[in-house]
Amino acid sequence: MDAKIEIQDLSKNFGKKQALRHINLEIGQGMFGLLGPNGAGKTTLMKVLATLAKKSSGKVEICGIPVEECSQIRKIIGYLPQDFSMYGNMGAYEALDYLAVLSGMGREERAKKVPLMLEKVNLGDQHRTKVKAMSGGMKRRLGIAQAIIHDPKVIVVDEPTAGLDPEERVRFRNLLCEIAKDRIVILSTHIVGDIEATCENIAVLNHGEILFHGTVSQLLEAVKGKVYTMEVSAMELPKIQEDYLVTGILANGSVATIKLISQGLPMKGASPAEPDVEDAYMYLMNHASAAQGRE
Amino acid sequence: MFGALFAKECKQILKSMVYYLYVAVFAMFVSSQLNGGAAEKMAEPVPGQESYGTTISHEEPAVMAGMLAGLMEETYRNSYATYPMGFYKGVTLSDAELAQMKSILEGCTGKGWETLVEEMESHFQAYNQRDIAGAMQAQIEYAVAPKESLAYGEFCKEMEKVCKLIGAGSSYSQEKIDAGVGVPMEYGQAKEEFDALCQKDRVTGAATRLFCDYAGIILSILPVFLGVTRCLRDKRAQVGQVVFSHQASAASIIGSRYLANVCMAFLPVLVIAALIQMPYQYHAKTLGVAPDVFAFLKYGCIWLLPEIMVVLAVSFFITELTENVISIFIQVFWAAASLFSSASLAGNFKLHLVARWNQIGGANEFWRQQQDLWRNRGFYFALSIALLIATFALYGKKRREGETIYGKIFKRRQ
Repeated sequence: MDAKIEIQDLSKNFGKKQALRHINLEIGQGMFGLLGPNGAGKTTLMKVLATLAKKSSGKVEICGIPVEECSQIRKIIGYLPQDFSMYGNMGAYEALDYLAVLSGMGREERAKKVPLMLEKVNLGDQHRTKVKAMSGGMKRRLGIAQAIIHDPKVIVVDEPTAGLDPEERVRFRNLLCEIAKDRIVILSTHIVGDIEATCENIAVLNHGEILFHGTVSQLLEAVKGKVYTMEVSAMELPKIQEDYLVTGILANGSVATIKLISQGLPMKGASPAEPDVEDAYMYLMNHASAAQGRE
Repeated sequence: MFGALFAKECKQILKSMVYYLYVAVFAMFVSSQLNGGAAEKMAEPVPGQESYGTTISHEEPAVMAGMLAGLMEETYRNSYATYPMGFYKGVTLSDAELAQMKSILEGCTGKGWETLVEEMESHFQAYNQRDIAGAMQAQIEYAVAPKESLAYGEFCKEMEKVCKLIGAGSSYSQEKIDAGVGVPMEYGQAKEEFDALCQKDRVTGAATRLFCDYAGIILSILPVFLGVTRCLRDKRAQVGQVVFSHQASAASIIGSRYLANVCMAFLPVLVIAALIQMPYQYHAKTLGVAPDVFAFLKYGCIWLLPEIMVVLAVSFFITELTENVISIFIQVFWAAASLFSSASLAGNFKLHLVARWNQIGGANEFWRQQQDLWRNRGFYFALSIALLIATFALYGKKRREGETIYGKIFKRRQ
């Protein structure tokens, strides 16, 4: 069984609205980042992979199994939805045990793995804490525990860090990296920092279409030599924002240090800067909007 | 997987406030209706008693006399009780219609209206109307004899005319005629009934039937709250997506939830039935009868379990379909319609959801109609299985397509 996901010419329509348009992707083992703005179609793609939405056309195979074979796919996939929740009156242990039963695990296996998983996601001490009393971060950790408890080959994680505080976010990223060692983990997010910190392979989705598919280095390559930094006065800033794609502003009184993307040296005093994924992502999205505007 | 899911569902039900309300309301309703006086009605009749109670008669002359008596009383007051769609509606006729009605009565009895009124008044005056027992006895014994030449078929046709005048849901429909009429019992009949109570019902059977009658009324509504609560719990807790994405089949998920609700809804019913049966076991022994100690279990399983099953199956299906509480309103309407449209308080089961047998006696009549009751309960058992399978399919569809059928219809309408 190939440990990869193959998506060929995938489209998904909701009535007249086309949520996914002719998607082609091949995803191998390790962390894979799916980046895109809100409404880009990320969640729809995640749902198609998790058998929660029917594709309209195209072909999707997960580890060699067509996505139409829902029961087979559900055995090898773990899914953490965007707003993970469980019955409020259940404790962490009880909730995880319930979901482990739904994953087809026997009593002995559950008795062994549930405490182990709770330890792994740092909920061991809070195994009796009711879901309704959990913080957002605790709920997400419980969510990831339920997604991996049956040892799936593929884990689909939809916007897992949205709404988490920085500490929880870092902890969650590390957890994802840890579990991605021997399986496919697809991380869907609109937070560029999450992708930058965890994924080598990424795809950028916008308006249901793949804008980019490749490695982070390849994405950075596109913007290499086009990122500049400079100090400008607050008065000049609006004009510069009109003329250039500004990817960062650090205000300091009446002066601001900005980061912008330009094909050549934008003006005197600007100096070339190292691009990061956020610059590349902004550049890509800006190009896509410009292309759409031309159409 | 199914067993573990079933156990977890039962545990969840035990944590639910709705369940304890279900048990409390059920216990209060049943205990308020069964006040323990039933044992007195199980005494052996002795010759010369003032009254031996009533029995249902299907004999044509008795049916005609009973029906005509009821019609006479209502026409005298010009106030007819009807139950269109199962709910009470009083009907008052116009002068022309009333004249037609009087003419029908005169035609059926061969007597003039004035004579009929005189006979009725003198009958009721013969009893002490201030005393409830006297008034009831007067009611029981009142009969209006049809004329000798009136054939049964002709009588039924006349009753059709009566129904047209009064409107839907009157007491003179063919269904009501078929249900028979209550007639006073003679000593011989009462003794026969008592013997049947001892031999066929072994006392506890009769008591449990009365329990089933009352329990059936409240169980035609109560389980819907358990069903709706369970089905909406996923929506309220927003766990639909998480549950959908797991390996368990729709049949395992819905089946375990349904079975857990059926068992947990039935358990208090059985316990209360067993408790209520206990004094009757003792009473049977005082009558020298070996009681049927499993009567509560037999009647509970055959009479009440299919009702709980179908109410839960309907609530599961409708709630999974609509994802709202509309099932409660549908169930209340269905239960009320079934309750009020029943032609008789004892028997005439047909396909009524609420099977009535609101009397401690009538063992012979019950055993005569038992096949109808088994057919009725069998139908609801089969219906609940069919609805459950439909719910599996619906849940599977929602799971694959990620939206409700109701949602789709709603979206298209927009």
